[in-house]
Amino acid sequence: MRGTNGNSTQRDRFPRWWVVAQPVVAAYIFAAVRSRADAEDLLQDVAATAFEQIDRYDPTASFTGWTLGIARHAVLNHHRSTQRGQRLFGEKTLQMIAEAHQRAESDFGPRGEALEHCIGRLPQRHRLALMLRYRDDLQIAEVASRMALSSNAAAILLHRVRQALADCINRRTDSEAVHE
Amino acid sequence: MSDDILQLIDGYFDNALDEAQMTRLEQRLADDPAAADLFAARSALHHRLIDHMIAEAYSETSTASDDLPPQRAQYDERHLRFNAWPAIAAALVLAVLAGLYWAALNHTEPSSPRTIAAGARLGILTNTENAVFAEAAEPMQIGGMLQAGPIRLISGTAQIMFESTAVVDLTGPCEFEMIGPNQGRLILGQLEAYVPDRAHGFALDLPHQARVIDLGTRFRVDLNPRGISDIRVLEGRVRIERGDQVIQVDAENIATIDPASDIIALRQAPLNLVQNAGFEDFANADPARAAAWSDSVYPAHQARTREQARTGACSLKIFTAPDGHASSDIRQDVYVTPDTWGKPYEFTIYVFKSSRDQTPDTMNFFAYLRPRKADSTILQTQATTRITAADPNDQWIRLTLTGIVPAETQRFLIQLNATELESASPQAMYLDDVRLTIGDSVTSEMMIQKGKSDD
Repeated sequence: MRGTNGNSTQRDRFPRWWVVAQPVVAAYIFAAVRSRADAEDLLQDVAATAFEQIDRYDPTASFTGWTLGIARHAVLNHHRSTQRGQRLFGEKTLQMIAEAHQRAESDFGPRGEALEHCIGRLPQRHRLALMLRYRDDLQIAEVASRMALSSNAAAILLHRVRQALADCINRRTDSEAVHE
Repeated sequence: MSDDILQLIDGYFDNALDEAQMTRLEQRLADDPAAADLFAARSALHHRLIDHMIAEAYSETSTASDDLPPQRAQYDERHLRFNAWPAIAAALVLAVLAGLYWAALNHTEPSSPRTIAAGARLGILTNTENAVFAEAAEPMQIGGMLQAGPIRLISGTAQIMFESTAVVDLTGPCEFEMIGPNQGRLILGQLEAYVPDRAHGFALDLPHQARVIDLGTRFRVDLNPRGISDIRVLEGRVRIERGDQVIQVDAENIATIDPASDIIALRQAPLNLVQNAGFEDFANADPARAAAWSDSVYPAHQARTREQARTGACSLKIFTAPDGHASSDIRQDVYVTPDTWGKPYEFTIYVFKSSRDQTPDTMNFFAYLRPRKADSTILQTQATTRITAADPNDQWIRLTLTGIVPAETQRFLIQLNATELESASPQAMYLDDVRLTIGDSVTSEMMIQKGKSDD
């Protein structure tokens, strides 16, 4: 399409586009850096860059895909400047998982609602494991200590809880799709 | 997919993989798109679990006391830093925080809103068009954080994004007040609200103890100086409360709250007979061919675009081309039944041109409305006012035709015409929201008696 006007309209629409893209981009960045603080800072940088460069966005393409491209570069720059001895993904892998996040975009909305439902059905002990790991941001060894488990047992418990949640969410979203 | 890859992915998110496991995971992700898809799904789950658990903790804590849990306090500190941000970039803060705020706010009944501290930042000014504001404590600038308090818009338009990510467009003259992270009050004028899923429950207070609560929707409110509110649901559903009355209103319905009446009047918006009226839908991959509109279009001159949109995401763009045609027209036949003969009709279309890009110079636009008999005889021809370079830029101009459906009308031919299109000078106009309605504006009316509720 000719002559897109990099303009107030695209700026006008930025918040609405960003609201849709943000959960996907945030999840991608967190997956790439695994640090909440770093992920928050990078997400802010990505949003600022996207807004500054909104004139370059082709509205016929996916906004989420476009912002994931910005996020991938931000993550690469972050990896280059980070010397923490933490093993990080290489460029090709970051590209593959960015593409996978874009493919998963449509799952973000309804699955979020399903998650709330499925967490509500978990046994108290499983909810406790999730709270320690996600609310309190404890590492596996600390979760294990609080729950009087070995580290291996805590890791297996969390893995099983996540898988149960994933299965529950899939069942619920499949069921909603059938009844639509 | 074996559990092995899932265990590796969970181990990765738990920072629990050794070097060999990390290498194995990276190889799988780099080589196998299915493994990458699984990784993305798990990534979304991990991210949502963080949001959910923190929001749940905040909800529990805010119920017990006004103290914030540590995580929330950190986010508030971060929030304050955004004052230094350029323009709209701060909007992301709202989005980042929304997931955390919302679960907490969702547990708060609208009738008992949280106490908002003086100076609390509730949203951001995300856009303006020719906006003139009355006196304000601080300059109204795009990207500026907005505190609780009134916003008086004398003319033009202004867009506000709440902390919850609910977006409201104000059209001046308008007086509006932000009273919570997901709650506002309209005092006078026109407002259109767009409420994404995560801002579900957005509440808008109106005069006379009335309140509109979003149930996942887009709606418009017109509040006139006499205190009469028309609430039109454009998409989804809203709940309207007034005293002990509670009703739910679905899309394409209008509720009226009149201080002279004890009841909320509900009526159905007249049905728009035009198909693909907003140029949102296309039957095939060719962007020049809007579904329901005639195939006799010239791809050299028109295409669906997201560059401008009055409602929805798209409009139809008509533009000049040096090797194109002198004119183009786009057609749709709207079929009617004999029972419409003798009834009033109204046709509207909105036209936009930009002062910033492809500003029209020579090209112009008008629409024909032609009722025809079954044998294609044209019973009459009406033409809208012609839009030319002399008309104002950067606003949607409404063109209207009204009349009485002639006897023997089988169909209305809607013809959208642009002329002076063969030009080396790049020029464009945008069309949106074509509407043809027949009958009185109120096709049915239902009074909700005081105390009755369908909730």
